[in-house]
Amino acid sequence: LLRIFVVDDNATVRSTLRAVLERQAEWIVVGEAGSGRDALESFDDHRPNVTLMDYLMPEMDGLEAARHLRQRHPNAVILMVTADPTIQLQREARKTGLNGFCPKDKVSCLLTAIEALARGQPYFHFREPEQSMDQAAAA
Amino acid sequence: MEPHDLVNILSAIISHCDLLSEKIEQGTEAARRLATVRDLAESAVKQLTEHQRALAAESRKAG
Repeated sequence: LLRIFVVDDNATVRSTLRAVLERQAEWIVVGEAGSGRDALESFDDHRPNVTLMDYLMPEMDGLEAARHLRQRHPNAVILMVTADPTIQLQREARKTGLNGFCPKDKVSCLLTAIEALARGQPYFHFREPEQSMDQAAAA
Repeated sequence: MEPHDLVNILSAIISHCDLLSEKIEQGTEAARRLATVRDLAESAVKQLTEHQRALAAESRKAG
């Protein structure tokens, strides 16, 4: 089973993501968090293979939450999702060391990204020269 | 309600359209109407995010 942890401040989005992800055989959403702080507190309880982290959240944004998460769990696999995807934000996510980046509403991107992450490969929505280098290195 | 919350709701609508479209026979009226709902939601997301970016740019200029 691929264990997935969903972090998003919007309950409707969390339940939609759960519906999308759990249609895949062998994928299970093991936990949800409504804020970066909740995610940091409950991460250990869920032991996920992949964490979906929303970018725009109150108090602590997804990048900051990911940084804290990485300090405590250097091997955590984190996919940033956002309703407002820009190449600048993807670059920041990459710089922060996140494993992937997807628009929140692109089901096909989410599924492809999680499959790639589960294989140990990065997945970034916007194509950039660095991406092909990352992917080549991971292949 | 914040624009961000509205974008989140629209994003959920788009995802549900994608889930539903797999269950609907393509080329039917239902499929076309579902595609229209998806396109409208996507267009609303685009307009809202562009509006938010414009507001942010204005406030940076003013500050």
